[in-house]
Amino acid sequence: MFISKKELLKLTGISYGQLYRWKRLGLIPEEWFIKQPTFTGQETFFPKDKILNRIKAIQKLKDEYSLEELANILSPEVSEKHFTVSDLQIIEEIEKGLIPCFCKTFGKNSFSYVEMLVLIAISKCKKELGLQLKDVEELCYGIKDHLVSLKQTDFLLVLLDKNGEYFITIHAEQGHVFFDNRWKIVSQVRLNEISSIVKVKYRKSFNFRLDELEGLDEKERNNPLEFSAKKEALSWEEL
Amino acid sequence: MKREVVGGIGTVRGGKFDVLEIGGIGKLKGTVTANKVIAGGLFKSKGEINADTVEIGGVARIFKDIKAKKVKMGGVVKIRRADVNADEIICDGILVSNGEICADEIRFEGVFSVSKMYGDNIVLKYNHQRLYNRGNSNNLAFPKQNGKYKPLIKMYLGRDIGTDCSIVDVIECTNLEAEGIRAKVISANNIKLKNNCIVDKVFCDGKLEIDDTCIIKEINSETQPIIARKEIGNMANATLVKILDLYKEGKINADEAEKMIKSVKPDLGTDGFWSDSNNNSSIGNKIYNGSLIEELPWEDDGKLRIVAYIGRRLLKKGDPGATSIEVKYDGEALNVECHGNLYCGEIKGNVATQGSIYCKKIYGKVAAGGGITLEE
Amino acid sequence: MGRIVISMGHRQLEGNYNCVMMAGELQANNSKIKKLYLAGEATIRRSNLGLLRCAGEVRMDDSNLGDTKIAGGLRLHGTCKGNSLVVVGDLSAEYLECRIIRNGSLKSMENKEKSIVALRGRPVVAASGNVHVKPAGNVTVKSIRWSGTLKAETFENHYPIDLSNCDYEFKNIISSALLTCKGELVCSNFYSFGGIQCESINAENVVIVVNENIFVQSIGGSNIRICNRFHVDSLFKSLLKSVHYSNFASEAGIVSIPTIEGDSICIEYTRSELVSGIDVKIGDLCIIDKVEYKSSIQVSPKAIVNEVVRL
Repeated sequence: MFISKKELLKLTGISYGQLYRWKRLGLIPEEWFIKQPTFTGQETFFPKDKILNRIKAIQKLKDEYSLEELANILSPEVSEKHFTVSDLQIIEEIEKGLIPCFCKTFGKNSFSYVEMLVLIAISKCKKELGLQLKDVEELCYGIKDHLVSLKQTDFLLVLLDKNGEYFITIHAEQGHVFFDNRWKIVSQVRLNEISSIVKVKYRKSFNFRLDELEGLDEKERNNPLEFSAKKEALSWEEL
Repeated sequence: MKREVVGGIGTVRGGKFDVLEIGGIGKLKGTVTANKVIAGGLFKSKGEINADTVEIGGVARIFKDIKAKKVKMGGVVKIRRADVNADEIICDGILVSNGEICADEIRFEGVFSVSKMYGDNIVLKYNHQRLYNRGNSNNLAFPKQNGKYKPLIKMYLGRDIGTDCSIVDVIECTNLEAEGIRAKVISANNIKLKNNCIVDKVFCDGKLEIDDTCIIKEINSETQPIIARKEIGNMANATLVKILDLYKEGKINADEAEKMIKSVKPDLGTDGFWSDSNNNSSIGNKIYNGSLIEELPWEDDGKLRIVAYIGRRLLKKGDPGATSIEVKYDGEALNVECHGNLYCGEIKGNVATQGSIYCKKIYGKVAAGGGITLEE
Repeated sequence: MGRIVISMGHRQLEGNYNCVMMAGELQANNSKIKKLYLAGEATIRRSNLGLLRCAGEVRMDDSNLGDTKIAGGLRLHGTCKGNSLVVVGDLSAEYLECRIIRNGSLKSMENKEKSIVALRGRPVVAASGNVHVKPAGNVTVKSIRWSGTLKAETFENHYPIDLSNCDYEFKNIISSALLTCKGELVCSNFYSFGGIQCESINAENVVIVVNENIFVQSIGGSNIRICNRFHVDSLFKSLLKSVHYSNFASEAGIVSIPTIEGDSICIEYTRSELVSGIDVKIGDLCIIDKVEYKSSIQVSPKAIVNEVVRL
């Protein structure tokens, strides 16, 4: 059921330095470090199966990828992390009252990372511009289908207004887009910026599910180009 | 007989007086015989003083002997190449002397650095508070061990002085009771040492009582057995013995030994400033999970607390296992704060609980993590 | 370019400026200002600053703050980025990203612990060395509280600070004053010359100089060093810094840290219950209940170790 830290290190042959490094990078969730008082004092325990599987996975992959690359692979936008309703509630930037609306319009209860960023952007716009619930609903209906395929965050989200009706466009920042003059640009949000904030602020709150790493493995092999492009976009070390 | 008062700035060239009072800045040149000598202010004595009562306050520098029935020293007194002989000597300020201090009764309660102390009954208490109450309300920064200035201070005062203990080179007396001192040689019939005394040699003819915080390099005791009070657990005891060994073997000096002892006994409060262990020091004082100190992290506030320990570690709220403790309390309660489950009578005040509460009635506010059941 | 503005009172700016010197209230929207010197208050929106020197209160929204030094308060909204930021005072940020963020001290200074002591709330004394105060006295040491989301390569702390309200991501932390945070203090390289108050430290490289105000339960990492004198090493030299640090020796006693776990551990002047690592060196004046080592162990003759276990 549980395994002590000492036994874990002995069994897996990893060192304290490695264990703490992986914890810092988020490869091992903080919640798995369980402190229990024992007769020798305070000792740390881990859920046995989970931690052993996780360490096995890390050890296997760290031969192929560096730790930074591994952490990148686990970045929420690349991994298939799904944000449930309770996850959304943790995020302060998303207005709680809007969550049921989002669920209804998107027709689902869990969202991908990019979708979550868009929800934050829409919440922000609603707050700043005083949009109505109806406007938010229509925006969601309008954009939801396109978001399914979005895996990157290098996009600019633009909110347009024509005679009281609101529309969204999402386009790559580098691309020049010329809007019809009859549409007024009300707000522009860079998804990258929201992403940076979320990653620092909620780093500790969200687990990453490495089990999907196995599946990702094959995917990555099929799309090596995609992976390296992401690497450039995502490595915070370079910032 | 004369009564002479020197205020302002003045010099007394000796003589016989009833009462000689020197305030302000006074200098004494010449032998003085008097009933009472009171020296306050800034006082420099280059003449012998023979009196019944000598009271020295303020800042005094004494270069010639003092012989009296009763000597009372407060303030800051520096005695150089002079002896003080009296029936009774009381000092509660800062005293530095490289001569002899000799009296039947000696009672020191301040910070002192004295070369030789002889007497009958000697009581030495270390009281660092004096350092800061000395009218120096602006003296905010009194560095603990101001390494840079130590040689200067030593040169001025003539002797090494510590701010965290008192120093005496030689003590010879009948009965000695001392705490927080460092001494080279103590020779007495009955000796009682506590609170981090560090002594090189002890010669004891009669009863010797040392507590575990004291370090004695060499004990020579003729008759009675040593009564050592064991105040700490075995583990710490073993460690203290080891520290002692290191000191005896000369591997560490007294300073280092003191630091090590302090780190093992954090609750002893001999580190002057933070002596209040409950202290909410302005820098912040959190007692984290698993504090092994023996004292209780709460004041004597009349609240009934039911707590649990694993080993010597106090379980705090949120500790695993804490919520599974059930407490049944017969009777009424005023305000209740509960981190487990509680069964009790009426609660006349407010309730805050992490677990569940079963009680008769609650008159105040309620905040519960578990369930609240009110019995009829 | 080339516009210079010298102004007193209230001024509103928009556009490009070379140098702006102001005493009073400044409002800048959508501007690009190479150098801004300000005594007073400023509200800066969607602007790009090259250099800002301010004594007063500044509020910035979605701006680039270049090299900024502020004595006073700084409130940041939206996303703000910059090169270096030095704040003597309060900081709140929605999202701030800089290469270097420094708390306290406008001039380069040594790394002795300086405390600003406030008498009844007013700053009175700046003392070098430790300031000891009786709890009953009317003197308190004020700890600054920052809040928000901060990201920087190096965070330098020269004044007592409480980061409990912050979400931060720092690669290097160099602290020469009391650093308080809740839970686990995380970074890659951690150098501490002052006090630390937190539950645990998790960093790749940890160098701690002994200090009386260290209240930490556990340290976990790769290279852990606790010493009573600081000597600039090659790693420290390589860190991005904004200030010069010199070698110094601490006069404090022994620090108590119950658990120390790492790969390469070299400690002295430490009291600990458990020290566990691959290569362990126990230096002078250590009192350790239990030492576990995998590869090598060295215990100084001036240290006390109760139990040694080879893993």
